[in-house]
Amino acid sequence: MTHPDSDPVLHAAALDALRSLGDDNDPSLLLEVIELYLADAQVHVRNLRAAHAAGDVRLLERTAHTLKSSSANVGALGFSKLCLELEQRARQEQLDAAPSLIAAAESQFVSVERALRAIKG
Amino acid sequence: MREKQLDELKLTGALPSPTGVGLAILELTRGEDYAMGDVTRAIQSDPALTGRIIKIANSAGFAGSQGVSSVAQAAMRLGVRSVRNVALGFTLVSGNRGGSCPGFDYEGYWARSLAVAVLSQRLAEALRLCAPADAFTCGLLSGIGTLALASIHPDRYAQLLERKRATPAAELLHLEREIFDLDHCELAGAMLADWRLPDSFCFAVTAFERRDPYSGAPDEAARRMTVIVRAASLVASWCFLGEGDSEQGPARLDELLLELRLERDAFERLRVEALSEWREWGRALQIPTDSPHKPAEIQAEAQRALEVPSDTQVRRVGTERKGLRILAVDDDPVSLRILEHHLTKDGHTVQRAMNGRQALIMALESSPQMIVTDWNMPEMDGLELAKSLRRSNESRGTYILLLTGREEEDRVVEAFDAGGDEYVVKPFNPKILLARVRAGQRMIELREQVERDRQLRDRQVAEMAVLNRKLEAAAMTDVLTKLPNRRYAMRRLEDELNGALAAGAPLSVIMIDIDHFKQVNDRFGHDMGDLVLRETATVLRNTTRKGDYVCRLGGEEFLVICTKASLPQCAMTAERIRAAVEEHIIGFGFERAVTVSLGAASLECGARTVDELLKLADRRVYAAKAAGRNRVCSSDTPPSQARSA
Repeated sequence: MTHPDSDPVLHAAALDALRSLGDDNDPSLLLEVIELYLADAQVHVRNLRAAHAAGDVRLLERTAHTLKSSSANVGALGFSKLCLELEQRARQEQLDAAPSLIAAAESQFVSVERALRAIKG
Repeated sequence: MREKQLDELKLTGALPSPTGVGLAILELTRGEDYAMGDVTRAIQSDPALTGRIIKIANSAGFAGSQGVSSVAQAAMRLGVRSVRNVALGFTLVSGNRGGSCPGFDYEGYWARSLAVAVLSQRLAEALRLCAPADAFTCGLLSGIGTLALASIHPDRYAQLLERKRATPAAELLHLEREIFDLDHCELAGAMLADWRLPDSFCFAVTAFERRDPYSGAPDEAARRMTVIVRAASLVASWCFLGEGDSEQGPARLDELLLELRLERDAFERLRVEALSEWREWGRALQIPTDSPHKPAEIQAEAQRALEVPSDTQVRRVGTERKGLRILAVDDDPVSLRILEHHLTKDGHTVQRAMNGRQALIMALESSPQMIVTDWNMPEMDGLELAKSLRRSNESRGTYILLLTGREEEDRVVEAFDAGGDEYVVKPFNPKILLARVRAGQRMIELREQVERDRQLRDRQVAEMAVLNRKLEAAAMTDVLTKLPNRRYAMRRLEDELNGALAAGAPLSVIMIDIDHFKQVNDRFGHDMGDLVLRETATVLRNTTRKGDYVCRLGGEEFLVICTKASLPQCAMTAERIRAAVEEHIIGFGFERAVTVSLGAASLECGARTVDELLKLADRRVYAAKAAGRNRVCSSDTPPSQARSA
């Protein structure tokens, strides 16, 4: 079990890599990616709880998988790890820990969102 | 231009020439009258050509009440002749995309040709000087002479272009004459004549670049076409391509408009329409229509006149390292955006799809060279996408690179089995991804080269087959009468005889000899002799049955092979021929009929070989002659009794 609190909300190195992408050719790439991510992730985070409530394990797995990849892209590695764990549990259909993982993901996402909005300015 | 000179150039095999459908159209329309159905069918066998013909028919110059949607309708609207010419023009465009002359800008050449074509069409329509479709074709081919010279003498023409660049004041036509003893205008005229394009086209392409373009025009049509092509070429230079002296351009344009009696406003409208049409053609034919050397002022004006979306840039076919057309597929918008960013930055042109299904549709529509796809996606995942693509002929050659998550890494074998070419594990290091894409690009380019070579070979094989058929037909045909010749007759008779003997079926032959033919030749000359032979051949053709083969054996001797005919049936045919020849008055100054002596022989007479059968028939012709000519002999009894009727 990982402890997201021990990591920074946004991983500086990953974020720097992303920032360095935005060069002269594509100056607004970082902001655009953050925008894309937030719009997409908000929906997925809501879907986590809904999928679990509906007992749809496949949808839960899918949603966690998508969140895992896209969060890693914006440097939200702690949040990404939570999603990975949720994805693996769902795949093995071990849902005992799911409610607490979902709750943790939800609260972590609030921090991620705040941190990303701060970057956007 | 001397005809012999063109023949020699043709023999080099390097002259631009129509291929495939173009060749078929040229063949079909050799004579004066040809059927619309044949031409439209030939065009329809090439979907791209079909589209272009329909596009021309629908362009504003011919706008009718209803849109044209088939080649047949286009032929009705434009006339079958114009359709033929347009089709021929286009097979030349697609057949000669590049070449081996290092200094020659092949794409620039075609961009220019298309500009002149579109402007010619528009000017013809505005000035009502000639049929717009004809103007289009003539404009399209107006510069073909330079392409031809570059193809025949790649290195020397490159040197010439170098000299021209070094001394811009030197005239191209002058330099060409100095080095090749002919200029591209002369050559173009000769080539168009060789392709049987109208005389007005030939004159126009020969004359439009000369100082005194209209002198020596054979007729009004030629003069008008020259006016159109010359004006189109000048406008293309000044307004589309930014060639020549841009300072002088505007002043000379005013002069030209005055000469054409074209209002400035009308011209501006025409120019804007033509510019957009030119770009459309450029996109359709994948020929860049944005000149990099365009003067800034004109470029800005052109930009204002026409909004060109930036993503419609035409792919260049140059030799420099160019990017691939890549379809990027990922259900996660963030990953997709980042992927696109990396690929675009490395010089590739990227399309995006959000899932496998969308990707499949886009791939089939636009045939990207490479697909970079995420593996794990809802609806249709990367594996299913790869499998589906491999099933379609269109996308079988597309290079597929799969992005796999850590959890799929131990399943990569499945990815290759499904049709994937390569994989990269996510989250990927951009440098490694791009290196793999470049490795894929080498593979793709190799594959495309092989495919181009294959197409070239196919085309050569097809052309060789056409040539062989023609040679074979020529070898089997008598030039004078167009009847099958002796070689054909012997081969045919051998086959028929073997078949008849095996089946126990009857088979007969009639040997025919024109009476007193030597006297015809001596008294009236060989031209009349040839006329008599041709006329007699026609009578023979018209009086025999469908299954009979009429051949000319040589001299004044003919043979009719009557399949499945017994001796009495064959003798009746022979008598019909005799009477018909006797009744047919040959005109053209000869004004009389000739007669023939005929010998009929059949397998029933005991002949067992071709030789025996022919000897028998020959003997009976001789007997018929001996008995007074103009009669049929079909037995070995004295021929005086054998004469029927």
